[in-house]
Amino acid sequence: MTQSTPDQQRFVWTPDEVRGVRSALLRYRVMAYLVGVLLVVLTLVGVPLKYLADNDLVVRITGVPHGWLYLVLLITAFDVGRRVRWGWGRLILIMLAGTVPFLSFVAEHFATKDVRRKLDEATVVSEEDLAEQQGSASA
Amino acid sequence: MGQSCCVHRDSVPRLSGTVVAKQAAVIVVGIVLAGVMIMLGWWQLQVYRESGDQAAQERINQPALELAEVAPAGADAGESFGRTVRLTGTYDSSRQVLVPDAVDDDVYRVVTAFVQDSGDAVAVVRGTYRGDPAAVPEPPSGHLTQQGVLMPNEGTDDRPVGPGQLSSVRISVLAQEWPWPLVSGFVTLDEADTTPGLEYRAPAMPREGGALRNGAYAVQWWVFAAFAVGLGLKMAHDFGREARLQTAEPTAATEPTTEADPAVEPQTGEDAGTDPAQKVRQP
Repeated sequence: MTQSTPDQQRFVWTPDEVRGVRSALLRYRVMAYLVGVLLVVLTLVGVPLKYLADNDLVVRITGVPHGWLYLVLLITAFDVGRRVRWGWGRLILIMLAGTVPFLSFVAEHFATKDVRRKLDEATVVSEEDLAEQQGSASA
Repeated sequence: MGQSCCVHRDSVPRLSGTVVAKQAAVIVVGIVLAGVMIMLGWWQLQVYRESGDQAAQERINQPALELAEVAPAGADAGESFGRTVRLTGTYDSSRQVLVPDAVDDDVYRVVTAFVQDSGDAVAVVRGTYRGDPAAVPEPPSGHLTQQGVLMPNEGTDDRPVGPGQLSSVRISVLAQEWPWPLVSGFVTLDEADTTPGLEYRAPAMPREGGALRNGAYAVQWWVFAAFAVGLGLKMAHDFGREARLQTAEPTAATEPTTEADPAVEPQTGEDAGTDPAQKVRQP
């Protein structure tokens, strides 16, 4: 039977969609790690260096990119979230986690867990089977 | 199955107060956050501008160069623009023009020829003057040393000006009248050397690229601000659509998803692959 809570959904995906989910997940994970590491370096290495040792080299290198990369992180998160039906709440949490050092790794962990579970539990149907089902469904 | 993706508005009851409140709240939050981000961007823009001015000022503060050495007549003095220079020689008050201020017609910059010991002459802005052009204070007489900031040629300005006046400091124009080889640039005197009777005005430095980083931050914040507003609108739209679908199809209330996906769509606006027919949920 259809489950009523979003996280207990069972998906029906074509192989293409499964591939899409996997690659979207990978893109999100790459960004989450990239942004997460950059943020840690910026806040725990760059900022102390700048204000305690008057050396702003690290801040200069990581400062501008981390803003744009965060935006890309949001886009990849929305992309994977769209495919696995994340609610706005979860997405907002992911957005916020990306702004706190180390939290983006935590968010990524739970997000990946969720997507992997959905992938495992999904029913994969071929394109033809899906077309058949739609044809037999009442309009 | 086979629900249409868009519910016809006429057949839909009005949205409940809670939903409308949620929509309004999310839009307001989006706008407030965008406002904060716009201010952050503005702050970064200020930092960028100030660092540009600061860079120019630091250049001026460096040790003075000898004008005759760094900018002989005819040579390209590009590297020395914005630097403080020292010049030694005498003024020739018979070679003088006034340059009216761009904003205030009664204010002029006084440009007098200064003949250096090296034989080259240089146009010197001795200060600014307000009043009768015929009564401009004379330059100091005799052999002396002056100090000021070396400036590049100014661009052409088509403003009409009176006799004995130029619309901007252009060496090429002065060279037609002045008999000496001219330095390809002009000097704006420091406050200390400004002729008594004239006012000192700091040279208008071309704003160097300030810390470009801060300019980039400003742009980032503004992009994020647009994002925040867009996200708020998107969420409000989705709340509304979700609510309408639930009221239109009561059984749908137990199914978190239907073909019309209320949850998420990418901010990039692409809608590839969300063919409603494929999102059939199997029991």
